[in-house]
Amino acid sequence: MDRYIGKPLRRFEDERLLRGHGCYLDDIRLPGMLYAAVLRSIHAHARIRSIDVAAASRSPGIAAVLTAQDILNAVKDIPAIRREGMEELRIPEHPVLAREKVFYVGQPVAVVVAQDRYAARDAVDLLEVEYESLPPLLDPLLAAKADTPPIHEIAGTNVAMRLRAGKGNVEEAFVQADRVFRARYEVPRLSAVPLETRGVVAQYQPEEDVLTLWTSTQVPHRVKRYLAELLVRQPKKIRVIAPDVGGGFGRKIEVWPEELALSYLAMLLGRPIKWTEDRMENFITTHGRGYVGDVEAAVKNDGTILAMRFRIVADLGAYLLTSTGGPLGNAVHRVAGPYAIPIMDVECLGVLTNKPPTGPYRGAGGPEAALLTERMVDLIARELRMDPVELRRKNLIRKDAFPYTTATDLTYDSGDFLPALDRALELAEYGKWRQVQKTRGPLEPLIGVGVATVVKASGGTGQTRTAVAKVTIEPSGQTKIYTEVSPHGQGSVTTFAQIAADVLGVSPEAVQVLHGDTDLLPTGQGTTSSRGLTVGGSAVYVALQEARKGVTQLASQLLGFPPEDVVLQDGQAFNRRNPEQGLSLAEIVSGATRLGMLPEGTGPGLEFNARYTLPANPYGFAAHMAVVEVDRETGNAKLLKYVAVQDIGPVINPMIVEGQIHGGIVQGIGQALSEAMIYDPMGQPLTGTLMDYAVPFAEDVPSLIVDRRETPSPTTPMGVKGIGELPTVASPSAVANAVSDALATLGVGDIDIPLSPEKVWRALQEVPVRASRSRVSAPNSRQGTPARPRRTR
Amino acid sequence: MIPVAFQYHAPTTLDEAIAILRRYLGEAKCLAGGQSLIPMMKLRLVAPSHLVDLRRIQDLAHVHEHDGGLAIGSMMTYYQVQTSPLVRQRLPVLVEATNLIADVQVRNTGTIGGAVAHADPAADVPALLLACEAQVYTVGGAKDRRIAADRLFRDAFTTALTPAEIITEIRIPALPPLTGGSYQKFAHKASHFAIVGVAALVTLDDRGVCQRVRIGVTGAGYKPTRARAAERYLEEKAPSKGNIEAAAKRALRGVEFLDDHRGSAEYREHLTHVLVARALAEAAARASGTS
Amino acid sequence: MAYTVRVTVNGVHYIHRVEERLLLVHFIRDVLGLTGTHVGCETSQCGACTVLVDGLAVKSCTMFTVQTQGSSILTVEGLAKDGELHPLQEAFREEHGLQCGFCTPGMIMSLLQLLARNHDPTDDDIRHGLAGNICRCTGYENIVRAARLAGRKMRGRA
Repeated sequence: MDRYIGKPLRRFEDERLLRGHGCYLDDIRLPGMLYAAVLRSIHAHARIRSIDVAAASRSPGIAAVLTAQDILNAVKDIPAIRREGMEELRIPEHPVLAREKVFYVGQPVAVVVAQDRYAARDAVDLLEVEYESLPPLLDPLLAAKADTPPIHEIAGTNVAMRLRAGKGNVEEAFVQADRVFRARYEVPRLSAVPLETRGVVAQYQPEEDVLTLWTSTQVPHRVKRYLAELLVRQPKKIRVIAPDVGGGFGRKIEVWPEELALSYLAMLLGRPIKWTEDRMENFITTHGRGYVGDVEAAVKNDGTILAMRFRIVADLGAYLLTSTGGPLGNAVHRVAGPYAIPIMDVECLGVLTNKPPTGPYRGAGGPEAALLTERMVDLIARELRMDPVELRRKNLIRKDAFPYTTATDLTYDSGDFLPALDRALELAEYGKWRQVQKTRGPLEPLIGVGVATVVKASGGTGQTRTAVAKVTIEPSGQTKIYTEVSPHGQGSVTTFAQIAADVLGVSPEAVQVLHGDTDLLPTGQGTTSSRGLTVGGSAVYVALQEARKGVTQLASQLLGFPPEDVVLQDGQAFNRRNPEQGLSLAEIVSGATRLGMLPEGTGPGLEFNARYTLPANPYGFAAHMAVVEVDRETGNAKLLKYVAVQDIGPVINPMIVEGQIHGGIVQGIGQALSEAMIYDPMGQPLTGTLMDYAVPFAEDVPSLIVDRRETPSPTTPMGVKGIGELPTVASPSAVANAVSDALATLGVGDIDIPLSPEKVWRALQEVPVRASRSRVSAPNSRQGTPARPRRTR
Repeated sequence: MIPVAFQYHAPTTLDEAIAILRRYLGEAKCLAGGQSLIPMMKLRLVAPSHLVDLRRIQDLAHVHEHDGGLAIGSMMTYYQVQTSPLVRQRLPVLVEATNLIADVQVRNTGTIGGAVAHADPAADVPALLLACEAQVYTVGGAKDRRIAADRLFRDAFTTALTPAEIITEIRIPALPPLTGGSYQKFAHKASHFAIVGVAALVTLDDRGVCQRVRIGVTGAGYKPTRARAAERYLEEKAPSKGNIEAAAKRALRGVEFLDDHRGSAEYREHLTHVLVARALAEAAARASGTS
Repeated sequence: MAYTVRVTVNGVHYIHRVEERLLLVHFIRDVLGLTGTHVGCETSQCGACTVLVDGLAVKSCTMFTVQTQGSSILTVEGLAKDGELHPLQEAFREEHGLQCGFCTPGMIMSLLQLLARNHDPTDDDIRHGLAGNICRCTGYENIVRAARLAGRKMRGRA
């Protein structure tokens, strides 16, 4: 009986946070704590000739200065996780502190430890590093060329990953097609901009030889595993805790040099040490995205897409950290989108450049892939003079085709795409806006309507599809859920309590959900890959079912009526035939303990464990529509309306789900219109603070119209699908397509995101020329190379 | 981000403040609202050894009528300017422009005198002061003096002020009857500073012809600049669309435009023309009472 | 170099000797231990550090402690009265105006200022009033709703 599942319960997480009583990383204070600051490379590529630590070491209040020399035999380099496409390559490992060379601006070179953060910061300025500057390799397309010298000699090449996916005879399809279209799209590097930067507190207790690390992470168990391996310590002597985490968005799924350096220093000095990253460090140490894709489509005149070909180059940065390879491994498959495209040929190269390592950022290969596919779908519609919605309608996978396996070898479990698309059209008043667009006068702002239809898996690959969970009922009757996911805004505490309340017949307020501490459960994959509910929550659900069975059995035995008559409700187990006959959870636990009914070696409470593996990823679908107004004079694109309809599984808490959708949309709006990491020709970041890197403010976005339809997944026990990333996959494409749609009314072709006012203005300057020079080849002609969109800089 | 250590001074009189500035000549900086200075100190782009906080000095935060115009104390915060009934009545365009500066928190703290002394080439207030032909009053230099706004700004973050000189007041002359004003800003999406901002004042005669036109532009070049050629072109002409467009095209000819990742020189030049036209059109419409 | 500051924070008087360059946010967090006020961007865009100084919302990361000599400061910890959440805090919970919660104290302090100056703001007023605050989780939608609800609650109580 669903009393709580499906209800918009207010979050249990909130009250502390609202009172200012949250405990984020920098809020942790331990007795005798020291503070660390990091000296970082100011060069994109340079040889380190010398590091003079003398002045810094004499600086007031300094406890230690650490350079690579000090940890040569004590701390190992951070290795990449070996993935598909990396088999034969010698990938350089990321040193905790740079040795002979530095490979990106922001790479850690030294760490100073002082009595307070001000003294530590001052000492950084006293470190003297002599560099010999080397030419940086910044252009991923150049890096992909065989004759470009490798930035890491050990690798022998700059191509660190090579992935392929596809099926069918592409050449033939392109020959048979009525029309062939080509375009190149760039998806720039982004900063995830969690409002809380990274940070670490390391503490060593010599009496127990235990290292405790608090870190602002999404993956405490991964951090623990790597600390054990790279510091050569027994795992049981390491505890990693994620305190309240102020946003992660994928860029806190990592093992960082600072975590290792602080751990080493805490053990060396015997005092707790804190490091809190500043915003500029956050901007220059890691990014998401960074793709260039050549896209080709073979199409029939009626809009049927016969085949697509993708050649993608991803700028991975100077090293592969543990998560760097992940998004590209996703993108190679995800370009198939929600369409029934029978033939595909996809090749992805991941290349090394003198920029910081990349990794998953909300969507993790999904938004990148969608931008390539969705912008091409719109281009096809424009060139065929078809409505982009009709073109999609023609190519979307039909409801009766599920489970559907794409030509890139993804299997979509379920979905009902067309009604969701129709609902989006209705909410967006699509027809009305098309009329407004047509009636705009030559001096009025342009109107553009953009659509994107996308799918997103939840659950991940390999290990991330498995989760453990534990449910305990203490002698007091207190129910506790131990989860391996590590929520940081997703509302998992409330969501899991709602599930527990319905399964065990207790009130959700009475359920305690514990997370973010490696001492709670032996393994864990954290909150990543939209797995929180679909994998972590499913494990909790399975453990709760075990608990329900166990409690029912005990109640039946204790009270002497058949298990099928046991009803769990209001914290009681009672006899459905005789409601007077019942016991509270506390009474069941104490009764079972007293009568020796618990398994040998357990108790005094009840404990139920589950290990759950998601058999296949559930897929959610989203149809988003954006209406923009483009100022012809300034190039400014303003969003007038935004509609998002999701086709997902049943929801546990609709309020939380809607909140995830809102946030995902707006991050994508930022990606489409204003966000990009910009580097100068020497590899210096130009967007290293929030004065230059433009995330959306409240005034930049309209009120969001969100709706949802339900198609349960056959792959999860509750039928649920993940929601965290799906909206972020759709919104960059919807907004980019809307701006392109506006420009197309003047015959201007696609330009690359972010569609900043200046870029749009530049495109508008070329109206007369562009009309005759669009990015499309002649019908069924394969001559010529893809036209490059104009660069503004 | 943590600033370099400094010594803090909180004088209560101008004389005391000047004495401190003179004692640490070149090493001391005035702290007004700090909304530009403190971020620069945190980024360690500047590192004064002494900060002289002007907040405790009596009577630098005032606004009153002077010769039919306005006298605004240098320590008036943007919020105080914005909410002053006198400013609202005499120079509503200043209220509008001030409301576009950064955000609530910055407007609560940042001061009009601080903005002038800091001379960020993208700050909003200087454009207004140029268009209004404001006079900036100072003490602490070789002699107490007043400096016309268009002689004050020399370069990016550089003014005609000497190291111990303190701005006390900004005077804005009375506007002639039938004058309308407008401030048009195209803001950078991250910093909310102007990529280009244009302030215009247009005075019409009783035939509806532009009698007097004043235009101040910020953000475009290395310092806020009067668009004199555009002003001259429109004077003695009707504020027709054609005349305004032609005037706007003459704005900042020959000026070296800023050229960076926030906006290329070409784009800033274009925006200058667009915003000058918009500002002139709105100012003229307001002057004629049609808006 | 040190300076003696006397301030009142959330109604409590404090006297501390502090380094002159100590930023107000570090005084509040590190010296007083009131960690509800957060540091997000450090360059005065994100507003996570917003507190009220003598009734004015300011970014405490862009102010030196010494500048607040003699002032009365209100932080998020000072909002609840007798254990009861302030209407703004209630409204944020009610409308799901927070996810990770890191920007929330700053958002609330900015909105406290907004609602003090404008008892019945439009959505545009609210969005303009949040030009100095960044949220990366909520897309602002539910923050705007929370501000509206808080306005209604506060008008009802006034």
